[in-house]
Amino acid sequence: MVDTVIVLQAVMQGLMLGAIYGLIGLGITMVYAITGLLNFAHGDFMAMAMYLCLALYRHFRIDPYLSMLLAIPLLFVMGILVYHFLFRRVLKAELLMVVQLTLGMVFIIESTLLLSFTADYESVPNFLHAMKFTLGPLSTTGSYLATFFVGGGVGGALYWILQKTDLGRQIRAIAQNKEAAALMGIHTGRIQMIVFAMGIALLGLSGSLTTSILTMEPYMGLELTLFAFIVFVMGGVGNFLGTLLAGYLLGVADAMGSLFVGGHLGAMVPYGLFVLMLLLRPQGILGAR
Amino acid sequence: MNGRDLRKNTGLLLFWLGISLLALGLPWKLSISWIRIFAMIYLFIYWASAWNLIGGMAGEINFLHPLFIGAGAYTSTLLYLQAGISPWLGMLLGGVIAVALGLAIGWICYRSGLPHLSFALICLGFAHIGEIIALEWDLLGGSRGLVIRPAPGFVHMQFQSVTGYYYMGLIMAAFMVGLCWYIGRSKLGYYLKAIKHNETAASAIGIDTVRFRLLALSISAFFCAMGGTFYAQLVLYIDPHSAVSIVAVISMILFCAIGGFGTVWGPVVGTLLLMPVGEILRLYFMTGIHLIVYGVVVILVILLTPHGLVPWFKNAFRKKAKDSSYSPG
Repeated sequence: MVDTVIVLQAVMQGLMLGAIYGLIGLGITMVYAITGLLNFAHGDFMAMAMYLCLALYRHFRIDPYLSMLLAIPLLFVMGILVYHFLFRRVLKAELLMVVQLTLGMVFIIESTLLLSFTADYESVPNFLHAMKFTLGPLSTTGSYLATFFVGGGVGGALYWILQKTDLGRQIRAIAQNKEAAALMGIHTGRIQMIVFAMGIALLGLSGSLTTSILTMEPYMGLELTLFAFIVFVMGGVGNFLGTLLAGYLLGVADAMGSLFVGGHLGAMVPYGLFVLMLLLRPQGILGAR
Repeated sequence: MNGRDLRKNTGLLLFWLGISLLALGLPWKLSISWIRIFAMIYLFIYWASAWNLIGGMAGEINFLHPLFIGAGAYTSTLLYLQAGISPWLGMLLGGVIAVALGLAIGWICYRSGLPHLSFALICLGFAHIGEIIALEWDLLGGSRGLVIRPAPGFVHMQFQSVTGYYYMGLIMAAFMVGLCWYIGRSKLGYYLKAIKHNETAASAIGIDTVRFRLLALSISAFFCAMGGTFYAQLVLYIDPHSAVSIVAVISMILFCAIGGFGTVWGPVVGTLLLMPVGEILRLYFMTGIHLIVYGVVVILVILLTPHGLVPWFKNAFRKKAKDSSYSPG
């Protein structure tokens, strides 16, 4: 029988990574709620942020936490450009068509990463990574803690923005009824662009936070996207709070899978949980918006 | 039938005759490697058309096909390797297993009335689980895969030269396109289109949506699995990454998208355009760069023709006909 301490340790690890899954999922949820777009290149943008940190670390020894200051604005601008030149033009096309467009982007981003960085597995340490923190029998490293607090904090802050600020009210209004929101004088086009770029910028944050935790390779993007989609659906499509919760749930499921089952079969546990959950409770944890 | 119709029909007849002659005579002009590539192109036309039945006509975002292809490839190969049963028989059995899988998963999913997106993700989940099972199950060869020893002979579904595969692929593709054309005009096709446009309304006028979606899924699954056997016999090697591959279904959907979802000729046009482009890019560019160019081509085509090439072409053709002096009736 596995030790309770080890299980608790794994649960904690899962919760910490779950904060990031929630954040990635929240990006997708916001974009989907506002624009109806499904971006299969979502995870690839996060991979781009991670590789940016790698390049800065390799050439200038810059800590990934510092690279964040460059990665976030850069990805925000990239989000605006991609939205303006690509997505805006296909908003009315069939959903699968847009999915294919984003898959075209996946080809481009993954091959570019492969050409510039080779297919080796990489990770970048940050200044907190060597620090150990202990709480009773449990122990963790500084970078896991930072991921948990920053990821959870930003998730909470975003939720607060969505609920309490004018921007958040405008976003929710568009999510509820785009035409009516436009009639009320909300610049729907501009808000859509900002939200899309915000979703991408969140990946700059998540990418820089996880460079020491997740191993990066050029093809990691699609798997991250898949995880983000699972979080998005599990949380109840378009439900912001549910998405954050689903992130934690999936993080724990992932950790439990690798602890109790291990290997390829262990990687199946989150998917199994997702399939089961959709069959028993198709509306998601908290129900759809 | 007046003169104009007759002329039009003769023109069409000549056009199709030319296309068939071209397809039949192509192996004499091509190198062995290109004959092989074309056999693969026909296989993808066949697969994409089979996907189009459920994905294009019924409008589902269905990613279950890696399971079906895997069921076909693994069933026939295992039976051949372990019991010496001819792949021609294994092909049919693989199809039956794929239908059983499709019915089981489809029945669970359709009944709970999942929205499109959740359904798509659940499919991806099942496909991923299938790939992992193939990786972990020793009987299926695990990650080392299964190798078929070359033993040319019709019973073994192995041909002396690659031209044999070319013609088999061509026949399969032609059959599938014909089947799609037939289903598109049958009752089932109209039911599927009704379900695609408004499922609630379709069920309100008495269409048993679950039953017809399951029927379409079974047809699609059966023929996809048969393609899986053909793939195994063409390559003589299968492993989880090639035979239960999510990448394959993504390419199939891509070809349908570029050609036009739900149209009979969409998968044909999309595959015939993109696969040779992909191969040529791979031949002339460095690895990696060819995928970047490929991605740019995909994005450009979608931006220019957001509904696919076939509908765009039809539209342009109709406009031209309207502009000319001829006016109907």
